[in-house]
Amino acid sequence: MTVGSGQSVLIVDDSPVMRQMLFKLFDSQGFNVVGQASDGEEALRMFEELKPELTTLDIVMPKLRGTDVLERLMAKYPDSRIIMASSVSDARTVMHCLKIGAKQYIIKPYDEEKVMQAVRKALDLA
Amino acid sequence: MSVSDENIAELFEQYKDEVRETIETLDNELVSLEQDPSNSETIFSLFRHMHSLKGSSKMFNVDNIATIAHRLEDLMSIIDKNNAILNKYPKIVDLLFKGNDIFRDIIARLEEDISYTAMTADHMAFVGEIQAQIDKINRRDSQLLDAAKKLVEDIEAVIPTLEENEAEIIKKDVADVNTGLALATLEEDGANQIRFNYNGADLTETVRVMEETLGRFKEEKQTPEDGQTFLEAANALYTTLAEVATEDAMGLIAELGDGLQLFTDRKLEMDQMTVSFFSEMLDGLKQKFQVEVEAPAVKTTRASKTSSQVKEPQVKTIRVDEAKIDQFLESVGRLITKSEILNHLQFSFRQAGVDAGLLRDFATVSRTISNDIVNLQRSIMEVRQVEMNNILKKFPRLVRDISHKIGKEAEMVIVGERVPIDKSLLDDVEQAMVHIVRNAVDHGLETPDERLAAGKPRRGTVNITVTQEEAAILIEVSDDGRGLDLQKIKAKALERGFITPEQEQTMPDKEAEMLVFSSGLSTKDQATDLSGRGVGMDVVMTNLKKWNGEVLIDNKPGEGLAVGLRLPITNTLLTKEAIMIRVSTSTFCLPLEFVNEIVTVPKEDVHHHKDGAVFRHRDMVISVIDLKGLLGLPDAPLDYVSEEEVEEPGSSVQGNLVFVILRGKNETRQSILADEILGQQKIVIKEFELETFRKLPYFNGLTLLGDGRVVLILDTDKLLDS
Repeated sequence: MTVGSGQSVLIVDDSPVMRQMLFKLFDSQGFNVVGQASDGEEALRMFEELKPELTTLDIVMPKLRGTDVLERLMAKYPDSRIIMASSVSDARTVMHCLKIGAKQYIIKPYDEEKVMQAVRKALDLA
Repeated sequence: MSVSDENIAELFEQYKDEVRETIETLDNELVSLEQDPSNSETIFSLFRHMHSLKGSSKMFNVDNIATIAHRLEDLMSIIDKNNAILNKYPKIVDLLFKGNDIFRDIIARLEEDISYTAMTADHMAFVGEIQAQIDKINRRDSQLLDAAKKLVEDIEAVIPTLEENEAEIIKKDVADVNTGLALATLEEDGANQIRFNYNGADLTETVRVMEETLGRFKEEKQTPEDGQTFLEAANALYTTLAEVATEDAMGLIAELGDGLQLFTDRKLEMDQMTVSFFSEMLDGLKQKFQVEVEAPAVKTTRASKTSSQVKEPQVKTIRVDEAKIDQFLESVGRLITKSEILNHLQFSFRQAGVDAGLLRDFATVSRTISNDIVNLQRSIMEVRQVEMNNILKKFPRLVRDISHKIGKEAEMVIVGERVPIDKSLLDDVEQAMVHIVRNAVDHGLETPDERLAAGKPRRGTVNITVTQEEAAILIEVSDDGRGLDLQKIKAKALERGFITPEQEQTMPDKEAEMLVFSSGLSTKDQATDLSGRGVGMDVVMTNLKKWNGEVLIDNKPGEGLAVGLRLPITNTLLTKEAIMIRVSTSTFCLPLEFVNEIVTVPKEDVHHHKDGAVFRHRDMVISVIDLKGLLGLPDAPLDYVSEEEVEEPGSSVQGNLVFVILRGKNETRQSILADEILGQQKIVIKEFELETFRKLPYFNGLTLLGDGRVVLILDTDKLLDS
């Protein structure tokens, strides 16, 4: 029994390793990872193109920070389901992101179970 | 890994060094505490030092220091909670000074006898004194609290009889006093040292619960209820703060509120992220409370204090025996002599007609070696340097003790603690400075009454400023006291027979000022045990002369006195540039720093008087020191001067005489008649080791030349005085 049932996922992170980890996890849990972006601008482009059902968004990234990406996406697509990906040291930023519309957050380094728990909540899965 | 005895011994040395260091620091902090008794940073720092002193002393089983430090720590902890205590009991500072003196005494005795670690009867008595002081504080405070409670009860009893609008005001005041009393009692019980009070709302308990639960979450030791408990406390904090907060705290409070809201809405959990978020919120808000709370005599928290402690830059150090460094220096000294031998060899090779290519190679190697040795010398000299602070830190206490003893008020301002000074100078410089500073406080500064009458601030100031000049260190001790009374000084000097009545009339001020440095002269009507006995200031001169230093005096009668000590850095160097001169049949060496100029004068221009010879040079009359006469040297036999040397320009033949004009102290210039200038070279000064040699007049050491000859170094000071 997997958590996902083919929902489309966009992974945004400037670290290839982090992207790879999330990709494997989502893939094994029955999600359809439709894209991976490595900076904020690419993230906006790919989101427009793919309209994913779920997006994981890194906060500290080159070109456009995750918070700015989030703001723009929420302004245009207020219903998008976005999970912030961050380390503990950014706790206040993360809470701010939740306030402006992110659904959940996941903490680096990733704990698979906790990531899936956040995903469930973000997608309103039981 | 076991610790060897040697390691323990070394650690114990370090411990003692550390305690000595602490004692100096405590002295200085106590001096500043005395001037600013409610300075919470100083108070806390004293507390902290006592605490570490106790700790390290326990580790080395130095019971006496550990016990005394422990009791003083208790005392400081009480004062730390109520800074006003020192205003009420200024004698506590004396107690602390006394404690520090006991520490100093113990450390000194430990040096002789490492078993001096037990409490003596004196130590017990002192601990008793501390305890008595602590009891006194506690009793007095609790008396005050009881009296205040009684007063509040009495007032509450009469409130119903008052007019309504009056009653309102008084009710509010009474409520405030009650809160304060409750806090004070709580503190006295020691239940809580930290209180959070914000615009009248007591948040102490709420904050405590939040911190406790957050702490457990951080350590992942939370109980199942902790999440709920925390959220309730956090919500309570938010609700209270949202009601009473002033605008500047609103941002943080709103952020906390948002967080709490999101926590519920998004079904968050107490995980690393939320715990971290709430901790940050709480810390931020606590900071705000601290700023906002203004409750006299009730201390809020210590957090701000610990954060404000400035960390000293950490420098990695190793301990090296001073004797080893001196040994090293001596070896470097021998190397320098060797490299001079290389120079000499080079000269000999050239004369022997060695192949030019070989000679060039040899010269290059010789030069490289010589440069390396100079660098080696320089770096080893730097190793010997210490910061002026080593001396300076003693002075605030000194000034405090002296001024207390004689009923004066003085403040010490020190600038330039970090200027480096050669370790070999330390003792002499310190000794000289002690005398000058003592005199500044004892003679220079007026009593508070005299100062006020003169329109000066009650408290005098003594400044020590150390500056590093290019080739010297300048230490200036200045005060804003009465300055030197030159008439009085001259009168005293006349009385003691130091000067003639004629000199008293004609002596220029600059010279009269220098009289204070003569032995046996004191103008203080009655000698105190501090200064005024007329011994002391002459020590300054003796010490300075040893290092070729000079004294500068800037006397402003009525406004103050500045005494400057300038010490050349070069005199701590091993090597000096020097010129070699031949007088009669002997060769002497004269350090270049004493040479002003070398001149050639036609024989007929030198005039002979009954007191000696003089000549005129650049409109100055220059007298000639008769070295041959002084040393009983024969006139050089004519055949001593070889053919070759006759050709040399710097030779006193062919109707011309060569004079070395010395760098004199005053306008008067003196010179030495040299039969020949042999050249300039680096010399390594060896002080006379044999007592017999030290008695030699006109010489202060010897040096070894490259060709192996031993040459005496002329002492120009003695020559100039002759």
